[in-house]
Amino acid sequence: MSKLNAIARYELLMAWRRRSLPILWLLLLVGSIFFTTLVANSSRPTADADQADVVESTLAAADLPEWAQGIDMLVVEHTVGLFSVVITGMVFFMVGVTLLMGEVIPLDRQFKVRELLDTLPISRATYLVGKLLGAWIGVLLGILIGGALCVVAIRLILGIYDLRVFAVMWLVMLTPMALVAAALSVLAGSFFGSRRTAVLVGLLVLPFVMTLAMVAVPTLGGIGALIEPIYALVVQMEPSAATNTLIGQRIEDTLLVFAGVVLAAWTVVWGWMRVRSAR
Amino acid sequence: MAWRFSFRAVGWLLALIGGLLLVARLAIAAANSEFIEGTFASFEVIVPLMAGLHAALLFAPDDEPALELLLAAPRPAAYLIYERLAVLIVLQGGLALALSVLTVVITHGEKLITPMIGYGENLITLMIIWIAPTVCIVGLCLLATLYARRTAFGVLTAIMICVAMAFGREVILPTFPNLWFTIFYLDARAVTPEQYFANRAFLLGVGVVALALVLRRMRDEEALLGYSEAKNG
Amino acid sequence: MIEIENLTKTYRGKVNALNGVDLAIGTGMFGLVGPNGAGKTTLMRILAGLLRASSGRVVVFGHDLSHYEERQSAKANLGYLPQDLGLYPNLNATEFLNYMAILKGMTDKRERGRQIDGLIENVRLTDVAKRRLKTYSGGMKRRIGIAQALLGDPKLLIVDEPTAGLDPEERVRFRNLLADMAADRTIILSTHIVEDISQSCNALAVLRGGRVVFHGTPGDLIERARGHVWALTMAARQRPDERLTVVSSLQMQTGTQYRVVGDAADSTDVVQVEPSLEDGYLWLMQGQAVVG
Repeated sequence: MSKLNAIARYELLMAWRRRSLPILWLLLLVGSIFFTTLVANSSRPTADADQADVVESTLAAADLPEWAQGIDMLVVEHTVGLFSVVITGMVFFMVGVTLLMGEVIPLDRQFKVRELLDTLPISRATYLVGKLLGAWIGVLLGILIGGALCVVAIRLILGIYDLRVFAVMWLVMLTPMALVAAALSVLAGSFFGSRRTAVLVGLLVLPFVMTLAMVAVPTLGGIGALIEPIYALVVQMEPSAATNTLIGQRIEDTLLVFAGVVLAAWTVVWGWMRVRSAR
Repeated sequence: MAWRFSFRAVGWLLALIGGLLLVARLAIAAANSEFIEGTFASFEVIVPLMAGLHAALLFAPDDEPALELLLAAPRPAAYLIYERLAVLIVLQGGLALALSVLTVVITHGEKLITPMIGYGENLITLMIIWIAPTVCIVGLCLLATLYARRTAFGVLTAIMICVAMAFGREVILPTFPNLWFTIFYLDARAVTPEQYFANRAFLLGVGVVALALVLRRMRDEEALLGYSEAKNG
Repeated sequence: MIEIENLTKTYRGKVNALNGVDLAIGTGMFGLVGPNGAGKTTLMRILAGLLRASSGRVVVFGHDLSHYEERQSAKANLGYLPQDLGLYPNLNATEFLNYMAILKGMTDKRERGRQIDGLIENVRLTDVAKRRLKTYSGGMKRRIGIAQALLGDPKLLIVDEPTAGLDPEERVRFRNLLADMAADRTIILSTHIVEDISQSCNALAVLRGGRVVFHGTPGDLIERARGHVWALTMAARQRPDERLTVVSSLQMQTGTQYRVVGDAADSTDVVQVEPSLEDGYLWLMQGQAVVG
């Protein structure tokens, strides 16, 4: 356990010092805050806005079903707008994760440390899990720190919004996607011996990761509905426990698919390492 | 020998991918006339992105094997960039040019993106569309890789520029209309021909300045070896 | 105790790096010499568990290295310094050694810290221990490599060209350090600097073309060259007979003085001299000595 811990800890330290982590975290922040600014600009009424628009907006709120009456529609509007903020942050972050995390294992070869590591009493699985954990912790720290800063920045830029919904969207959409991207990038990069090749491999992994993200976003983005029915991506006229169960089940299934993808990639890489060391 | 080494260092994979994407887009347009309209625009998206990614891979001091030997050679270090850039231009530019000719031949007389810059849909128009953003992104990505010392940062720059530009046309421009001169994918129909040419000239200028900075940096062997950074610990 | 029986290693392309090597290596310092491509590094990599033998048997302290688990167990007692050692450029010396120590299984933090401080002191890097490794000179990096190999007090130490890049003072210090440690462990030292072996090893093997062509003590190898080492002085522009191997040459006012290995008894102006280990090695390489 201490070996695993050491690999992860030092991997984290080295990623920080070679500026991969700061850049990665910055990407998440820049992507999110940049888009928040755009959302704020588009939702702010312009000076020449027609009085009729305001009236129409009020009427729309009045047309809401009974269960949705009394909800502050400004908060709803801002919070729904944050859905695209999370997606933009996620896209920026995942591009960074896929391109920067793939170098973790190739760097050991590029720095010529791998030969030394192979003479130490650590198993292939420990080495691989340690590297993966290091990458994952870096990603998670970015999500937490970036999330905390975004909470404040969004409040300042956009105004009031439902923090609970933003928090669950941030965690449930961003975290699994970023972890999958990091895992695939680290594992795919492990076949190669230079940082340059790892970047090229990251470029090839990127379309796959993005496709996975785009397929999963509609499902994972529905998590807000479990807090307030009005945040369901498909409008629920009659929110019910059955609907919530369905949303929860779909999210669970998506996360299981993610776990399966990571597990499959892990098995391939671990098997390859085993075959290679048996030569 | 040096050229062969440069060709190997630059690689051809990204040029191939870009070419295949353009050919696929062209095939779709040839098969279905409904898709002809976006054919020129596809050059504007694919060529700069692939060239930018390719440029990011050209020369990263930290990832360059035998950097000391290369810098100790009697010829100027900038030759490394000249050679690799030449290979990149031949691969990416040559392919894009050949496919541009093919596109104009195939789509000639069809409904394209009229009225494009007021000059019609000919080869020159198509070249104007993709050359300026390509030069711009190639310069910026080379510069990013050189200063950050790592390939990954240059590649990130290429992708982020393209993502920002994709947002730029649809999202940034309506919010900040004064930024029209920076946008890669500027809709020629939304601005005057003068504005469109000013935009292309600006992008070209940025690319040329970035390339000049790259060549200037290549004269500083000590910085390329990272010694100034090492002293600061 | 290390036992190597009929060890063969064939790389892809049917390149025979080792060809039926038999060796028994006990406690103490064991030297490994041979020309480039003789198979020294391959042999050391097999002993370090990095490569698997194509055939034959290697047992290190009772662990048969043909099995993965056994190799892993053997690694727990191993210190290894590769010829081309790399370091993590963004870590400092203390961090790097701490990382390696944990991976070697040193779980006690206090003991680890004590040993790391001691080793850094031993390789004279205390002043720069907190500086990033990317700022180190070649010799300093080599010394960090030596320190990491000694971490965990390993029973088997395999060092490939350990003194390459070290200044003469450091070379002597390191040689003495190894000699002190050799009392209760096995140290395998591969080097091209024959002097290092003559000063510190109690046994050595000479490899050539993947085979052991000599196995014995440095004294045995020196004895083989006795009567075949000569000093001769020649006028300018004259060269010794091609059958003789020139060990050294010294320009003098009267001509050039050569130290040669071979049969020069019939030459004029020759003086027989006391052989050194280097002479013994060269005599062996001439192919005139009987395989040991």
